[in-house]
Amino acid sequence: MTGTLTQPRPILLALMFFAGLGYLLATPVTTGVAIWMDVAATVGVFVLFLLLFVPLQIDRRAPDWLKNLSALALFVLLAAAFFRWANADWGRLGHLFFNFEVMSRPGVMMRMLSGLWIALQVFLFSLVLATLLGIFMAVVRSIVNDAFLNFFIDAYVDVFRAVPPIVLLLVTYSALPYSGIVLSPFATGVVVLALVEGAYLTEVFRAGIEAINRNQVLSARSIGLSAWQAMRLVVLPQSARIVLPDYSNRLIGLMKRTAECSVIAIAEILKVAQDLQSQFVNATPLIVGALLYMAVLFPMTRIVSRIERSRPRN
Amino acid sequence: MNAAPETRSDTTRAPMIEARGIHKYFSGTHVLRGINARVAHGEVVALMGRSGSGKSTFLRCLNRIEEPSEGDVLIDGTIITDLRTDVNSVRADIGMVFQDYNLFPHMTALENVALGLIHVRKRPRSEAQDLAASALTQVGLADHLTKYPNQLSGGQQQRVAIARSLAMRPKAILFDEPTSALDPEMVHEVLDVMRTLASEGMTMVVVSHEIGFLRKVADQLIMFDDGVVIERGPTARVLDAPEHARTREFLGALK
Repeated sequence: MTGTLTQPRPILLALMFFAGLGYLLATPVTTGVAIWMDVAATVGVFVLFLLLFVPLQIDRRAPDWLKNLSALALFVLLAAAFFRWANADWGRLGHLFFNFEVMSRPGVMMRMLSGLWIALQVFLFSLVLATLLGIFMAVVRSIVNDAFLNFFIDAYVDVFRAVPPIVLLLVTYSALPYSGIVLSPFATGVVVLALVEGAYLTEVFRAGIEAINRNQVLSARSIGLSAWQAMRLVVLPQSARIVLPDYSNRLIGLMKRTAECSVIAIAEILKVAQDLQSQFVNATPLIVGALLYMAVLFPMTRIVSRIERSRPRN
Repeated sequence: MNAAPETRSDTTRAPMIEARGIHKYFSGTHVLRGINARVAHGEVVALMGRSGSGKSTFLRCLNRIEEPSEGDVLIDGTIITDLRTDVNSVRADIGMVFQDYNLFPHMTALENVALGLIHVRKRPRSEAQDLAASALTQVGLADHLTKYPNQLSGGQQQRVAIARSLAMRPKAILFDEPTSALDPEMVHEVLDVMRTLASEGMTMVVVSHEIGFLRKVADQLIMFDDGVVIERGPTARVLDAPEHARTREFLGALK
């Protein structure tokens, strides 16, 4: 008797899956007294499925693809149960959120893609500016190390980390014209995001510089290198490796934060999607927008976690 | 007390390094209290003393890696503790070797040595690399040019550090406990290189407790205690017949 319950049985599991799926999708929801039998049957599907599913998952010899496939099967069953029991108007939901007729209308997909292009531009411009700003502030703070200057750098860092970027965007966008400075929405968005991100990156780079042993600087200075040369040739190349994981995480955050530029009418992904949504009274563009973000961010997150795994051990 | 009769150095010229009344304060504590010293051309001077006695701080004042609070340092007759002095060019002319090597870990041995030649001496890259290679050959590392510091033993790293100073064609080299971070079996390879340098007439100031080595190589020995010089003289005389009680105590503890 021992082991009969703990032995993995993939074929039985597959049969159970199809039987359960067939029941959940094919039979209509009953009403009245019979509903209790219906509930019991649904619960039964999951209990039987899990009895076969768990041993397979904990078996060390089972191949990974089989484990992944059975986990996926569990999700499909859960989705089917939700679909069967949720009292929703599925047709209307599909019409509003997954309406590909709307997306195929002339110009719609082009506008979404141009939104993506604008978002990428905001991202790249503000990233370059913020990186230069962050390195500059961190290096000045380390080399000049003047109390007066440090106060201003710290104040900048503290202020811009303490205000939500979306608030800063709105304030700048609405207040700036009164000061006589007229910037396009795009320029405003880039400048604001760069200032906010620059504050965070100042801290990131400062930590990277401070992580390098002070003796490295002494040693560089002792052969006659100037403070700037020591920073550029000896400290920064070593800091770069330490800083890379934090830096690339900030990079992902910045790409997501470009969506906040929609509030100052930059025609990036979210803004375009919202415009299309009100134009067609249909939310499908929002879904497509989310997919566009994912298309950019998913590879980025994968690369970053690669980098994080190769973080140097110090 | 300053007489150093049996040196092989040239005492007719101005001293290579001269320190006049060096004081140093670290946030209130008086670390150096009026140190005077003269190092002649080609002379090897040893600095000894308990830890915290000020010998390393004094050494670092000589190339202004540490700024003296008071007093003057003269190199070859020129005052370098002066606001107008280009401290970088002074440091380029005086090598320094640290206790824990302090090589640049992101560069190969060759790049470590060539760095100063390229960026301070402004030599073309190819020429700098040739000079660096010959400096590394001089310290017996011709086979390790393209290795990174973490691929080298402690003794090899310290020899790269010496080559890094040497390649700059310095007037003098300061050694800050060059062998105290090394495993015992690697000490001699570094001392051998230093002995060769001394015999070739390099002016050297060495903080070290390697008695046997200093006896053979150092012309003058200066004993530090609590921020002052308590005794100085020809190395053999100080080692064999110390005059100050604290010197006897210190040397006794070393044996």
